[in-house]
Amino acid sequence: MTSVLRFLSSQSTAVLSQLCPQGARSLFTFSRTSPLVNTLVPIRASHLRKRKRVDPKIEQAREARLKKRIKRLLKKDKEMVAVEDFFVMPSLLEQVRERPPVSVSFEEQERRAAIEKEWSRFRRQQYLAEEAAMSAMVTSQQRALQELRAESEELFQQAVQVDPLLIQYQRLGPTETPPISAYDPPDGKYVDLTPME
Amino acid sequence: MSAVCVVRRPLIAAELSDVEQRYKAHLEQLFLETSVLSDHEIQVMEETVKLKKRQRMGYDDDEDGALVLAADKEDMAADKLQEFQPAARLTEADMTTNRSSQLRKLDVPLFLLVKQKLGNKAVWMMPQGSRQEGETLRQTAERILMTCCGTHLRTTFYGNAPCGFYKYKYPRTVRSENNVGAKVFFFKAELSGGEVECNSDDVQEFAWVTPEEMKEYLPQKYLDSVLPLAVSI
Repeated sequence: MTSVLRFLSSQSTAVLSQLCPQGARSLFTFSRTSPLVNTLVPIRASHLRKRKRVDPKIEQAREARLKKRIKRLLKKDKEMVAVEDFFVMPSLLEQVRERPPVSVSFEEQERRAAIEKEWSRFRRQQYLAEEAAMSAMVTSQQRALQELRAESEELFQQAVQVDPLLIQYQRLGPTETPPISAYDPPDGKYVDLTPME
Repeated sequence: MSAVCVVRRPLIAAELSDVEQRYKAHLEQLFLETSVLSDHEIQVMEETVKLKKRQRMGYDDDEDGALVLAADKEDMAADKLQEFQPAARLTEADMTTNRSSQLRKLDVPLFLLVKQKLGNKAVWMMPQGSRQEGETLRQTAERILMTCCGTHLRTTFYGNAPCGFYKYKYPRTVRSENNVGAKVFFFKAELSGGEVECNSDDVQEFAWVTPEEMKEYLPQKYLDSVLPLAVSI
């Protein structure tokens, strides 16, 4: 049995060596070798089956159809896709909905511009304060780690480990009013679906 | 040595400052002017027209009993709001300025300070203690917090790395050849719940304070190491 297979494999390698300039052996590797059988598993083999003689006209028609389909897809690519966020309900664009225009006096406009500028200045101060606080925290931590390293390398390595429990971190933010202790919330609206008997 | 900086995060949003309030009003006005009429406003407009017509024609107003007018809707909403009593923003602890309460000054972060025995004296500082063999600094910090403040206090530590450093020398009487002083590494932890219980001999008192109030308790050098951690943002 094995001798038959070996003969066949030698035949196929002979065929391949004619078809491809690379070593025929490089296309096949002996995998799944067992004491009984050496099976050939092609990994990078090209087409070995014979091609049917097709009418060149039918082949050309097929290619033409494929090219048409590709062209249509490419055309679609150039169309602009509607952005979900910019969609406005048609009912909101009706005439009835338009607010009567308000005329803003010159003083009011000046006041508004002044408020915007004041806000911009305020936010900048806030940002600078936050940046200063953050950088102070970072410097403090860097110094602590430096001193720890100078003290003990082992402790430093332990300190620098990522804490896996902290990766899933959740916290409820502050609310307008504090939570009421022992609060009994009222039942919301619900539809009673208990079967009546 | 390890020390722990425990922070109680704010429970309520801070009051808006003057600039913020004025800007908020300004934005609300702008949004109103550039917006489209809402369903409610259209209903109000239509109803005022209808009611005027009816009054002119001499109809009774009571005929509209079945429909819910826009004005009625507004009243019902206002009534429902009145029924709910939210908790007060200024708590009891605020009124009595009870510094050992967690529920004082709910809009700012508060930091825990304890009066611990250091040698012979009792000193105000963050919970502190020395590292034992085989412990990492963070484990030391967790142990210290449990011994100083009791087991009921639940905290979340912000990672394995220390975030602050302070070193001090022992007084001459206590100094030995090897131990001239101590190096303290600060760890930051966030309060998740529970109350502080000082039942050990070391810790006599505790207080939850803001960074401004810390100046009353802590010496300047210690404060310099701690203030970067105790930020009010």
